[in-house]
Amino acid sequence: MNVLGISAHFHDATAALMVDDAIVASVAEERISRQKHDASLPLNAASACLAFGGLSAQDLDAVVFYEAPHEKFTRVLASTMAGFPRTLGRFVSGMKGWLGEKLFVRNALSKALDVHPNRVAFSSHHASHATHAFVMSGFDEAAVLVVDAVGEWTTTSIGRARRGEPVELLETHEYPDSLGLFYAAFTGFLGFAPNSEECSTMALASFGQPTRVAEVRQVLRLAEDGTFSLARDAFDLLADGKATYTPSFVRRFGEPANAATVERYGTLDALAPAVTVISPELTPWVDLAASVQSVLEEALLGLCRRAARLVPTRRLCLAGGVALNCVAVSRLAREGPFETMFVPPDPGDGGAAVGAALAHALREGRTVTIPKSPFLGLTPRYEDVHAMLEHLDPAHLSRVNNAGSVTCHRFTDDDRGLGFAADRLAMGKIVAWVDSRAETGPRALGHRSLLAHPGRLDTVRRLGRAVKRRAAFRPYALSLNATRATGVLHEGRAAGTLPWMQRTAPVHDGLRPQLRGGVHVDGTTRPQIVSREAQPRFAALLDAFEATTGVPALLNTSLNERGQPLVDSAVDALTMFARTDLDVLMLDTLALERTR
Amino acid sequence: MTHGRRPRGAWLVATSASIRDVFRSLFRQRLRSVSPMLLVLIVLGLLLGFLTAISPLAPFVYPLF
Ligand SMILES: [Fe+2]
Repeated sequence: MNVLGISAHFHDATAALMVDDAIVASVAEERISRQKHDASLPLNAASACLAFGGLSAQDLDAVVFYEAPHEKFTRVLASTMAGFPRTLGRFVSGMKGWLGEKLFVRNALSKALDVHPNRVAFSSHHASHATHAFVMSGFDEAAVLVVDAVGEWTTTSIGRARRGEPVELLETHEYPDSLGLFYAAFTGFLGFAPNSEECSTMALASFGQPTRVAEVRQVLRLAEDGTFSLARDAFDLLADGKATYTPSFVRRFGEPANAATVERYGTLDALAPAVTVISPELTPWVDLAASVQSVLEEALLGLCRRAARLVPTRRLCLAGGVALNCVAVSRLAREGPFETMFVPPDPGDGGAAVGAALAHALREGRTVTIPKSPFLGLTPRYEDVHAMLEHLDPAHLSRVNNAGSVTCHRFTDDDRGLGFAADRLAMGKIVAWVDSRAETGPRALGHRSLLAHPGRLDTVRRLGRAVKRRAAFRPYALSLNATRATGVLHEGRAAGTLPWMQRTAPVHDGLRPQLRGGVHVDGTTRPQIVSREAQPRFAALLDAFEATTGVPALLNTSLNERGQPLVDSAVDALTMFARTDLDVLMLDTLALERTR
Repeated sequence: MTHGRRPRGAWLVATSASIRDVFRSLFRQRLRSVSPMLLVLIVLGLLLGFLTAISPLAPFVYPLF
């Protein structure tokens, strides 16, 4: 069965293609449109997936949208009308959007893809998440927990999954009681963009102490049985923009972070010595972040215990946007009731496009498969860059940001290319590494990565300042070969099933100085454990780097500029090289090097 | 197997299916009381769609709302 899965209209719109019951591609629209978190119908991504699979839209048996827009619409309608007349303005602006494409997705997809409207189908939002996580886990049976902001009405669900069957959602918790919206509201209160910069709240939390847990638990009430509820007077979930909290919330927690507070976060440094003194102005903020993180983890632990009671099994699949919180995932792996846990590399709404296609095929009685790999994106067309360089003197590239001169190296032998990259990394250069199909999900996993020597703090600081332009309190991640995992990390129960930066793990004390750039203030890192079978070239680079330096890991961060989506094509990579302070760009057999 | 393309008049089939789904969903959620408001919205939506389809009127439709 050939199925196109689509997610859109919230953030990270994605298209995923299943050919003959096997998922073959998944592409986020932002990677092509170059608009970060692009939520519009992913028509460019859909065309790219179809081209990859060698299909036309007429070869599709179904186009499946990842949620039921009519169900979601009734929630928006009912919740805005419940607040009349206060919500009149929001009602009018909301309806303008809904009565266009958002409600009439069937027509929009049928028209854009030129397929019969009867071939457009819908999967429920949480069934899409759950199916994606379970099928990718490869487990025979498992409990499934989905936690996100909100789908149609459901914000949290617990299900039972068995191989070859549609996932059965046994219990759902409904809007407005939502852990995703709870965390997003505090993210906005702390001065970040809600539903986007939750990773900043999580990073800030590591600097604080959970001294304000009691206050936070007044607005997120946790029951003994694992259920939870939001204090209705504290949250204004229909509000647009940053503030989804109410005056009553502000009475409890004080005024929200202003521009001066956010600027002060800049004084926090993930690379600082382990014991840092936090200024008195910042203490309440970092302690609040730590408390919110702690209460979220308690809520998730409660849900895990509830899931274990409902579905007696040793395995758990976790999905939904909240599963991107790698600190919480580690706590669940450590303290939760399940022996083994799986989180897909793209647990958010991007992965739900894959899940929608899988869920539809399972409902049709098909036996579905998905590669156990996050590399379902597009292949860079290196020839585009070769063609450009035939007409473009590399020296011109250095003139864009007026820094040094650029030389072009071409390697006939891949080992020499790898040796070159390892050598430059050892010298403290920042290397942009582009290799084969792009990773799905928000994390760079060695196919569109920025790499650096984790022990060279001068390089790491330059990376943050001149290339990524990101706040110093946000930590970087490490990539290491599977053979090095136990030597570098305290693996715990998360070993084996969570290799793609889905969790954090403490780094052994003795290795922290040489890996400091990829270790957070709390001594943990977000590791990518590289499998030689899945990524032979990246594994060989790690080997070459270790052979040169004795350091068993590389600092790995996403190949993008601030506010931009991950680099996708070879030309995107070349553009980024020209615009930023990158030292080396590795594109297959080609390397561009900037010397100052 | 290849399937047919989008037939003429498909927008009517698709749009009415979506409207039917919304009403079904409202009844299932025991939100029947919202249906009159929805009806008004749909009529308004269709009117807007109709007015924007008339090119001399189109530029004035959205500023009006
Ligand atoms: Fe979701």
